[in-house]
Amino acid sequence: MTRPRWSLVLALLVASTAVLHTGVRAASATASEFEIHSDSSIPRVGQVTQLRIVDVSQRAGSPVGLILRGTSRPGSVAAEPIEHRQRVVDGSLSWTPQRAGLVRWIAVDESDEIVAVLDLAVAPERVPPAGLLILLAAGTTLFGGIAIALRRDRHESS
Amino acid sequence: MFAVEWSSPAAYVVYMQRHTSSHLSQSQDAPAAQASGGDPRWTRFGFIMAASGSAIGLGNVVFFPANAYRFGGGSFYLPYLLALLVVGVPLLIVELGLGREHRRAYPGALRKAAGGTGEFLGWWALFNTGFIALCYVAILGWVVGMLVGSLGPLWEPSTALTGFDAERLANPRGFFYRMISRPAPLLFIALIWAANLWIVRRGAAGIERAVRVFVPAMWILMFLLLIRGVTLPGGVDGVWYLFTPDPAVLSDVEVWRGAISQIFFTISIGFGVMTAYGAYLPERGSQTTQAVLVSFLNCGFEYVAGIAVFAILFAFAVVPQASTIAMTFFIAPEGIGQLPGGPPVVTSFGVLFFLLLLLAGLSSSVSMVEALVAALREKFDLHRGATTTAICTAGILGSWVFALPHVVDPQLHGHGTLGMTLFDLIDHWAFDYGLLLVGLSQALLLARHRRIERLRRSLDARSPRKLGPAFDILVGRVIPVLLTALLVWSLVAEVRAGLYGADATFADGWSRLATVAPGAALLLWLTVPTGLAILLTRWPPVPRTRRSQP
Repeated sequence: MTRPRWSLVLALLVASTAVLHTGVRAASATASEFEIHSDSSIPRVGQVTQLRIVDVSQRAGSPVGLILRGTSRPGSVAAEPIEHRQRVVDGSLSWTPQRAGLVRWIAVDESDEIVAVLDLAVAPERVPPAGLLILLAAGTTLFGGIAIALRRDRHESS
Repeated sequence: MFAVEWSSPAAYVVYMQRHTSSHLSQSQDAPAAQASGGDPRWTRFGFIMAASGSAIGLGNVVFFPANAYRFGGGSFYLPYLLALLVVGVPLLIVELGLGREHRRAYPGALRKAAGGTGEFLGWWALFNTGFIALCYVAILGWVVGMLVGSLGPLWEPSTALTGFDAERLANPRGFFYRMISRPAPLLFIALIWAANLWIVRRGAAGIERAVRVFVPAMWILMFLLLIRGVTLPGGVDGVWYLFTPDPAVLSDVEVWRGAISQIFFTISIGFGVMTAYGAYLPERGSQTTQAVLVSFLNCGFEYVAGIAVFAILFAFAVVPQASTIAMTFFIAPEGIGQLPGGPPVVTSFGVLFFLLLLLAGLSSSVSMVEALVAALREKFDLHRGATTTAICTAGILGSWVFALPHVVDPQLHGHGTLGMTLFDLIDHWAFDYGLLLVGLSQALLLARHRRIERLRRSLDARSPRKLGPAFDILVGRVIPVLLTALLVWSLVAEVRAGLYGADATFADGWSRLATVAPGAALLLWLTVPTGLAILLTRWPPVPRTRRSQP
């Protein structure tokens, strides 16, 4: 139906484990130790967020020249690249989230190899009315339906 | 028998009165003998627990949140609710109604409703379900392994050395790969089948006793996860994300296809399970109401699970994967592993999560086993204990086929383990096509010779709320068109992409498997259920004796 292939998913998971878990990937022959840091653990739509590329080992060299690329809602049909992609000059980047949801930032080097990954959850600016409406409508439909059906079933079974 | 044409409405009324009264008197005269091999009936509460326990499974806890994320959060809810009302509830009414009407398991009920072709479809569906059960219990064996691990080693921050090319993977992935490459899961799989045996051999009463504990426990555990999730910093933002729609996504056909597939899978349509459970229904009660109740209970659980899982994943910015295995064993535990409060909190919620999965999976696997046991008992007049023992023993061996490759030779994996490839291939055909094919064939069979109209009138006779002729059009016309479109869409995508699994790669020395496995899996899935279904349909039923009594 809709599930992707397990073998493919697992292969990707295994292959990307180092990236996803340590946020570090070899940028060159020497082991690189870059990480992407955000000044906010849960950035909010419309608020400026600073992203910094940090050499955690102090051995991998300067992050200058690395490119940051963002994807909003990765892995979903609503995935969109974040237009704000740029070459990092001083190791940091200002980013103002425009859309709530999960965002994946990757840092790539000149050979387009991923050297660091950061997943962030972007909170909405305020409670979204449409989200609240669907939450209530779906909850009312389902649990209201359960309550009505329970009552009818009791009546019909007696 | 369904090709009856009535000369007038009055003639129809007379016919229905005779039919209904003869049916009722037959059932009242010998209720035990009519209820699928002489089993006792459910209590009202027992049926609600059993049917909703069958529907609520691993898919509700992990697959729904993954699908909801993949298909745009709130945008998924509109097609999802529509699919529930237009496809899910009507087909569940039909499957429950068939069981209650004929007091038979799926093949027997379909034989009574649609003759030999119906019985063939019933057996085919049950063997397709059998494939699913083998995979499902293997996953449950791994769930037990993770449950044991969640008492400590699963949450250790250090990386774990796995059996696969001695890769070092961070937990929980590292723990999972190490765990499945050891013999312990084989024992866990055997234990799960033993639990199925223990429950199912006692019949409806045994199942009812188990689900009376399992299902309320599942709800309690899920609400505990929900409370923990939404009280995390950022957790509520995850809830808004889950429910906020993205209108642009609604025009994507994939979203609608995903919603119909999710509904099909989540409320156990096409498994043959609900008909077997319907055969044990008490005399009183409307299957229309019961189908609405069961499907809404299932989707209500999914609603709660979606909120709980999204809150936890969002709070820790974990990107969901639209894969049951990835969500179950990697993604959700990753979120739990980051819960504040130290090891006691993480361990408690880890145990809670895997216990929830185990109960949800067990209540579903019990229903799959029961569907086959009930059908075989009816056909061959078999003793329940012996039939269940035989099926569960075969089940152990079958589930080991999916788990053993990791244990015997973890180096088989290459770019995708052999075991996962088997899982993947069987899952693809049995789940993605098998269930839809059964649903479509069932609707087409009942649409012929006004069979659906007869079933609907029989259902209406027992219900104060009438379905009306629109139900016939919905089941006989609209649903077949929708399911055909879905299957054609999937097949076109399949043809364009090449045979499913053909791009799988294996380690050196095993590359020949890549050319054989996808075709062999398709052949296996087509021939085994078909061959067995033909054999069993042609086999004359054994006259009933006392052996089939409980």
